[in-house]
Amino acid sequence: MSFSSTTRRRVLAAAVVGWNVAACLSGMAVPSRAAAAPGPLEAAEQRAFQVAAERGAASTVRIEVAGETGAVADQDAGGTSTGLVVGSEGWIVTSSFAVTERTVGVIVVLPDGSRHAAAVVGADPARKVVLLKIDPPRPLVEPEVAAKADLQVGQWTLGLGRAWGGETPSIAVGVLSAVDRSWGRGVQTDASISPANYGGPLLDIRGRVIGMLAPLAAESAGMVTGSELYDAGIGFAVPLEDIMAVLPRMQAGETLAAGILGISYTSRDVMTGEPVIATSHPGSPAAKAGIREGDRIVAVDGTPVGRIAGVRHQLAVRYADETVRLTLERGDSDPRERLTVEATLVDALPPYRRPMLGILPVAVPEGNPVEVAWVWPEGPAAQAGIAAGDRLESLQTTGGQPRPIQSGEQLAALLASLAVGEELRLQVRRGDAVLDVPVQTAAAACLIPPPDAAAAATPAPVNIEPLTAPEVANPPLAVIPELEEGVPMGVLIHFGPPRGAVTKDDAEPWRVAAGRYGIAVVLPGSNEPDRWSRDDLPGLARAMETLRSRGAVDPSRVACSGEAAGATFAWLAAETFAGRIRGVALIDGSIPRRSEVPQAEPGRPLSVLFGRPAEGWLPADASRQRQDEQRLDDAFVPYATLPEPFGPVLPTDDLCRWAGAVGIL
Amino acid sequence: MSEMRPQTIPVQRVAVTRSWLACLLAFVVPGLLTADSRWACGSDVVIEQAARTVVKIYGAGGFRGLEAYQTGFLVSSEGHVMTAMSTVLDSEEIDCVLDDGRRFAASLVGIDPRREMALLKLEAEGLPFAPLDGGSLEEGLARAEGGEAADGGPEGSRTVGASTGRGQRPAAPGTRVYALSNLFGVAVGDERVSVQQGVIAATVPLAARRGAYEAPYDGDVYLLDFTVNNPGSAGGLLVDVQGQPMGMLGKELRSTTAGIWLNYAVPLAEVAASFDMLLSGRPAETDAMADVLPFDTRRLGFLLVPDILEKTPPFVEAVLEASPAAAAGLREDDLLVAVGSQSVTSCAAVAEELARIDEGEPVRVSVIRDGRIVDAVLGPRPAVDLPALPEPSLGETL
Repeated sequence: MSFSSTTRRRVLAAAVVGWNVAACLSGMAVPSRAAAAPGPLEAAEQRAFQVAAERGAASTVRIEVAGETGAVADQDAGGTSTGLVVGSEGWIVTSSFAVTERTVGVIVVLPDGSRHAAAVVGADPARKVVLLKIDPPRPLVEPEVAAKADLQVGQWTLGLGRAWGGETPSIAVGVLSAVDRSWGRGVQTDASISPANYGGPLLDIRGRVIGMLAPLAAESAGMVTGSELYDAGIGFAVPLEDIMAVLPRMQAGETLAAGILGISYTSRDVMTGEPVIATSHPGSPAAKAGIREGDRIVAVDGTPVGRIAGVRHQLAVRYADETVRLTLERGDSDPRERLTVEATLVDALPPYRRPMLGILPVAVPEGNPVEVAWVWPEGPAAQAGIAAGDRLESLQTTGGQPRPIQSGEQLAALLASLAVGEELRLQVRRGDAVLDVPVQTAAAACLIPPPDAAAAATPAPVNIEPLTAPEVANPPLAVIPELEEGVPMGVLIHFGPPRGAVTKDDAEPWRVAAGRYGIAVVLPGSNEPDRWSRDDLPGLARAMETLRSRGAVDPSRVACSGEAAGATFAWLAAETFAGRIRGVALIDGSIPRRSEVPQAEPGRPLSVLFGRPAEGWLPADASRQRQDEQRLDDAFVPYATLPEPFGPVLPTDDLCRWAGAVGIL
Repeated sequence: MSEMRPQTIPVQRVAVTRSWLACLLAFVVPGLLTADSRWACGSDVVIEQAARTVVKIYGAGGFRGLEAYQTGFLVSSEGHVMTAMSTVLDSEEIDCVLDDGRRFAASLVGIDPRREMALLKLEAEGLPFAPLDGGSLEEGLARAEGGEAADGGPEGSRTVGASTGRGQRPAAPGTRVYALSNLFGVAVGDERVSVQQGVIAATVPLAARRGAYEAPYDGDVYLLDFTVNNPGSAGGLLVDVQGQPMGMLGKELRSTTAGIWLNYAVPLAEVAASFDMLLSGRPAETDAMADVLPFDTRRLGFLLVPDILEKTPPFVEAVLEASPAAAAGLREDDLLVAVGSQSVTSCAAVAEELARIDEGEPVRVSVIRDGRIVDAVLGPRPAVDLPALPEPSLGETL
């Protein structure tokens, strides 16, 4: 059928006009339903979330706990939590937030509502994973595992939880924020992770399980448990792949221990510090592998590392009994010698007893050789014939090469890695001669040298001034000796009975001793007029920064002391600044009952001095001191008591002398 | 939505080739002219509709811990605003700023202490509102523009079809939602309120407190997987991605069971019931929950271990001979884990749950014995208010 062109045009015109009108009419219709329909993507994603959650729900169980839970004080686990099926015969993992290895009375509620008693079988505490076993009547639904290699940052993730109860699990939706977080233990998500879903699965959009949700801590943020992080847009899951890899060991009843190497670094800064070894714990895997002071770690199992954080990232995921290969740089040659050692990690280090020689070095600017100021008459150095004025040039352990001694700190680090009773040789310069002296180390002791041992010939003049710092309301008062250029001073922080701000009258008794022994005495005031509190500590830290700007501080001679209530606080300050405070003097005071005495560690020397007043000392106080001494013995921490009871005036001279000797080598 | 009229194209005068071109354009142009409604992404339309009903509220406060602002939303075209009951409303002057920037002084019509909601009234007409009867936001806007009152009938005759209205099914976990509120008061001046998005995590009964103050409402709430417990968020509007109002954002509360801060919204049905009650001026419902006397387990013939810890695990200390407990097979050292279907993790919880069982109903318990769960039925629950039993001394045998 053919139309004439005119007809064609007319038909076309009619069609076009008709189409226009119809389109406009339908477009004009008010209200247009199409306008408010959800975008197709949003609706599809919502459906996907719900389907994925349905798939994951089959392997998600509720955990009910009577009695002891894992949660800390104000983070109540509330008795209900979530768990994830890992084996169809009844194996379930949950997080140690709700259940610990010691918990009795655990019930698992399956998705069908049935309750089953559960036994705690194994655990991986470093990853906060606990393994439970029930006897289900029918096999449980095992989840599909999402492989770590397939994970993509930015993909959808869902957290399921059963802590709120109900038939369907709660859903929290977010994205995968990062992989390989929390020292390699977990993946990170921004879905809302909280006690509502700890122990439950983190799913991908297909309903496969990426990992088990757990409160892994972010230590750089100063957290203890990790459960402080809920509501912050950050949460962690332990990859299911990793859990399955160690499942047989947990099923066999093991509590997996994190592997320990036994080293400490010269830098305290984990993030930017370089991995140069300060000490290796005697008897540890590091010591057995021959790792020693001055070595620098450059690779772990072939992976290059440049910072302490890098080493830690590699080692934190290892278990005890695993072997690691460490590549080290050693020595002063150029290029430095490179060697590779193997170490088998352990779950605990042998108890450590710090060795010493009994030498008090002269306070000299950094970079100067070690000169003996005083030798403890009952110590190994005295027995070996070392005397005041000798210069220590090098130290040689049995079977090793002589290591040059560059500074007091370096000698301390060398000694710290040795055992008590170890035989070594010191190369000592006396006058023009160099002597080769055999010495045997002895256990470290807490000493108060006699007055002439460490005193300067003439006492230095002192300045009494406040250590002002930004945002510090009550700056501490400091008695600062004016020493020669570059000569470092020791520090003694003294906490008297809490009275509010400190006055110059309080500082006067310290004037002479500070100048005589080169010790800066810092006297903090308490914010509250009648008690010490933790709020007093941050201001103290800032004041110490100000002190460092006044003159060089010798880190081996930093101590704190306290009288009566101040003594308890002195102990807490030492705990808080662990490693930086080398001695605590408790004058008419005792170790707080709830504080733990830290186990002795190389690189963190600590000694304790007791002092009792002449008046007001009761038998109860004496028995309390004996208890404290027992606690210190158990932790291998050396201690001593001031020979004379004091009073009414504080023994400032004895305390300053003791402070100057806490760094005794 | 466009209302332009496109022009019909005069076909007769053009040449053949140009007429084909014209035809092509003719198909495309109408589509373009009505494009904004057909091709728009759904969410920005929904958010636009929702935001127009949300109101910024300013009142009393402004010192430490108590902010002077919060959020509310219009529920009628004559200016009824539902919001959260809080100290912000403790003011002589309550100001409301609408989405279009207009400011109104609001009067407080009433407060609902159980649901912790309040009703304000602005003097206005034709305002966009969020329907409480199951209608979508779009319908609400249409009704407002069409000059209808909230209910389409004389005031006072409204029926709130809360659970029977369209779209009032309880929302399933995973439902995507938007929350609109003036969190942290960042929307200053005439700015529109803020939008957050996430999903409904779960629907659970509220058990919460703020400090020592226990929240009086214990009905169901929507727990959300994003952070809405911010200063200023309370009273905000929760909608789903289809433009259906879902509820009112809750206050800053901690869960009594888990100790964590809750992010929740009160479902629309409760907001509707509260509005209904406040509008009609009926006195607030007193929650006639009888004081639940703790139940003494000795009436069933067994004794739990002394409740001396904060949460003492409910182990059975002793069972009386020839008692309902003995007949049911309960034994010393059994650990109670459930009363009925409710799990119990402390002695206090056991007493509470037993008291909830109606008098005369059988008492079902589950215990752990030798690593297994055992169920037992302890006979009919006796009355609570019998004469008190003498206090046992520790170590006494029944």
